[in-house]
Amino acid sequence: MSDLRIINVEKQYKQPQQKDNPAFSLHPINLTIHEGEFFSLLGPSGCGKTSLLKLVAGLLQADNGEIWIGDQNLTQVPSEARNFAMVFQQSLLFPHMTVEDNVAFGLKMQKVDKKQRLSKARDMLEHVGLQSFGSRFPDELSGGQQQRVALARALVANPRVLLMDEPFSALDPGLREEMRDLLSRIQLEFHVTVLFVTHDREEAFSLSDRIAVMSRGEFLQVGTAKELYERPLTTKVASFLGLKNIIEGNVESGYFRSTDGSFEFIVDATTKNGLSCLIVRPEAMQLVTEDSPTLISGIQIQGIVEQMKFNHGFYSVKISAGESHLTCSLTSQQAATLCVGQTIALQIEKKELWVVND
Amino acid sequence: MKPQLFIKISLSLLVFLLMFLPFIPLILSSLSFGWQWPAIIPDSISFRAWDYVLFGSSGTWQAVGVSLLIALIVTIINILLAVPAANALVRNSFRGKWLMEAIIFAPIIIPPFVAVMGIHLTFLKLGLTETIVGVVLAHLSPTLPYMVRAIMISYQTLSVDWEDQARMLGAGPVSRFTLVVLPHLLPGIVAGASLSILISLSQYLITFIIGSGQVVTLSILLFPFISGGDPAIASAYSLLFAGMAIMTLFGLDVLLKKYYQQKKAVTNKG
Amino acid sequence: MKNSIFLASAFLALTLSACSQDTNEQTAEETEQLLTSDWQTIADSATGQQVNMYMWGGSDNINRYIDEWVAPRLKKDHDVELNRVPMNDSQDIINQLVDEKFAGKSNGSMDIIWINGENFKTAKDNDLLWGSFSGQLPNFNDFIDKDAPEIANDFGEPVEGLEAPWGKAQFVFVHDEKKSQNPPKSMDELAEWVQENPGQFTYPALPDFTGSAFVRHVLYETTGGYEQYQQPAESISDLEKRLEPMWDYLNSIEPYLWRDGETYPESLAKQDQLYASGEIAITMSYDPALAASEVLKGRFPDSTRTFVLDGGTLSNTHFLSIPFNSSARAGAMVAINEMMSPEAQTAKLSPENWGDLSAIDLNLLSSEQQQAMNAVELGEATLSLAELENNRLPELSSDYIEIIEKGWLQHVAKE
Repeated sequence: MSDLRIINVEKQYKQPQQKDNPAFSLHPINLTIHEGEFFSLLGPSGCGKTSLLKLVAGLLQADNGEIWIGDQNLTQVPSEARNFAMVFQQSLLFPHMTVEDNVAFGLKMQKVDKKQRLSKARDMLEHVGLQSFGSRFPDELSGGQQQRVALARALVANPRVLLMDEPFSALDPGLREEMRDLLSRIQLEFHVTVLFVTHDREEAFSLSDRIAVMSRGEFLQVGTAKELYERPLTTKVASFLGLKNIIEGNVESGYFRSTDGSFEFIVDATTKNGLSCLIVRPEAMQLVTEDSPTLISGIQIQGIVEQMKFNHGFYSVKISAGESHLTCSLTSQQAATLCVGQTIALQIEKKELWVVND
Repeated sequence: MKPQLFIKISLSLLVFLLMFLPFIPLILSSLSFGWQWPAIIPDSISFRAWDYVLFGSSGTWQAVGVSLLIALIVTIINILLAVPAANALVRNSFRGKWLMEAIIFAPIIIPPFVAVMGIHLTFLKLGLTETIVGVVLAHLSPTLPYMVRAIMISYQTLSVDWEDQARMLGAGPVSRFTLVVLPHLLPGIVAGASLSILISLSQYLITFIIGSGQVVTLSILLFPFISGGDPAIASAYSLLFAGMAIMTLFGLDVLLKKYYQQKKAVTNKG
Repeated sequence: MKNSIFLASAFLALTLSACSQDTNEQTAEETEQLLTSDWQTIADSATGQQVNMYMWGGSDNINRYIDEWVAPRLKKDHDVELNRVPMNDSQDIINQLVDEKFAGKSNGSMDIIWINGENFKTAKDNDLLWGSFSGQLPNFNDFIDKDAPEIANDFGEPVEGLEAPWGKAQFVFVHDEKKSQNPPKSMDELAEWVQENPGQFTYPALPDFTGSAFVRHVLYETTGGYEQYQQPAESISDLEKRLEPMWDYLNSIEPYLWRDGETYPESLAKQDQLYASGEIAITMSYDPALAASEVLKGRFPDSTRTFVLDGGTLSNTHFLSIPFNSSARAGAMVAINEMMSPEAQTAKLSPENWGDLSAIDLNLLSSEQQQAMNAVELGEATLSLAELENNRLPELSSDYIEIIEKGWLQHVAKE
């Protein structure tokens, strides 16, 4: 097994490295990324995700800690000898070389002979759908094509780990999705370990096997997309993932009670007492109609429709219940029966009620 | 479309004229025999000046060779010094950086004869006067600032990411420099080299004092005629000087183009 | 980076100084012997030497005379290689030597230098010249009138054998015969002439060498002759008063000069240009044959002639010398001796070569040699040797020249 292990890596900046980045430090980080896994670092800008990536790459020197791959300690190995590859936000194709030569660059560095490396480069270009572009120069390519070449260049030498630093953030949204699909496909095909940095949660969700949510130089939570979304450990994670229905309240003797009293239900015995928050995903709330089944366990709430917004394929409906404002997703048919100002009933299954205490 | 073409042609013609206009009086004067006021062109022409400059005992060709040799060595040393200097000045911040910059760029502002007197005494003690090497060293001070400046501008547009990228693809320090940094710096190096060559070629005072007459460049031959008042020979020398400078720059340009063509040819073949 | 530059230059400096050390340096004793040994010994040790001659390089005629007449003969007859080094200004030679003396450079590359007047005085005062060598040269002993004042003194400074006479110069005025038939032959006539021909005359602004010489003629003619100034300037107590008529004269002609006297040409070269282009009618030269050679070059009109004042014009001698640190002294002596030979001097006299007046005394030549020299076609623009010789005035010493040049700026250029 050649898992990538990050052991107690930490880095302190004494001075802000750039004017727009405040001084910060990367707290000791431990992480194991399995071989062939697609792992994303998700967080707002300045959270240290790029620094962590560069520490793994060896482009930055850690103050402490070690980087291992399999049973090999890479901490003191210079970047160029780690056999990692990296794709940056800009494609950084060498402008004075053809696309082919760019792709073959890594092989040239490994002293692969010319014939072989060019044939490999062409193969790789075919994989990214640019087989006929080999003899062009980078400035003759579009942004998306350039980034595809960059991807081909990174993969051609069979890197042990592919590091990607927001590789698609400079592209148009439509193109971004196309690139995601391409990346997913290629990652499966080459079974390469990927460490991917992004601030775009959709991107992270759609690509990753596991995601680490980062803030201020530390991991808030590591898990699969589903785990993070359904079971965020903190309100911070939840709000970063875009969960809007966060209701403050209190857990006491087995009950959660919201501050305004509109929510009250029994919680698991494992839930700690004290100030807590209830998190409800928008799609977990269902409209109660005459023919809807009654829930065996769950709660029902009354609310007034405040706003309805069409949101590709479904309606996002804002409701005020007590002092809380909730957003729920309803189908078009359901929404058609509603209008602003109407009082409606919503029910939530017990298992969808997620209580966290920060 | 048509008026645009007309403007284009007349503009090019204007530029051409402006560039060659100053040479016309020089050509006339170098060929003049009895050019008296108020005649606009000389009554009769004579090749006396050109005969002296090109075929006489004047040592012109040797001086051209020495001039070019010095300019070439100066420029090569300048490149070797300026690349690391520009790298350090652009990419690092260190204590006393402004002072280093001030020292490197000082020769642009301070007239050369101020420094050259002190240099002369030092070089005399070191035995460097009257040698080409001494002249080459002395030429470094007025030329280096331009080379550093040109390469600094190239470095400013070269993000460290490029080298990081090459590094991640397995390139060691040498490969990173030759395959990534150098091609990017090349236009700056060529600009700096052109300036360095031109400035070196036109140095009179420094060459004269440090070379002490034993290093005879074209400007050493040219100067006594300019101030001595033989306009025909001074003009012929000036034209030869301009020709030498233009040919050198042209040669540099051809070399560069060849380099790029070769690069393209190699990549196309592959 | 600073370190690397420093190291690189230090390294270069070391390697260079190591290889630039002269291998066949003469010992001090050997060179001093040259001042006493017999000529044959000197000629023998000169064999194979390379001699660098530092001289003003702004005239193709002079350059060609050295490169194509003198150098090949030296090579053939004496196996001495003469290498001419062009200079922009003889003053530069002196500055170089001062630096070399200060730095203690003993193996200098200047073997022969061409100087006179002020440069000689500076060189002599600073011990920049080798020693009293001219008495060792056969041609000096045979053909030079050693006691003539213009040979024994250089602008009032005793020569003492430190330099050997190479040629003579005499001040002449240059005019176009077609434009002015009767040029002024005295300062009084000149004053009248400029009134009749306003804007046609001027002289180079002092301290130009020739402009300064023109003013000295004014001094001689307006203050009662040259004889009174053959003593140090300090010993004339009322000098300022004596100079007054000269300033008055110069100011009186000023309004009638070129551009109404508001400005003067900055150099003789500029004044010659004005004459060549016909803007002014008279120019001047301290080289009596220059006009002829400019006619040959086509720069001056064919009808150009020269003239001297009835009261005579200044003349001086220019010399060749050997610097204190010359590396080829024997070769330099042989070369200088050769350049003083009747053949070389006769060739030098010809305007095709140079047109420089001979330094040797005609009376000391054999009749054949005299004939050869007289046969030289000086060109229509040049006066005959006899006419020049009969109208010679001695130069002033440099202390006067300094006073005059400063005074001119104060009294004449003041406006």
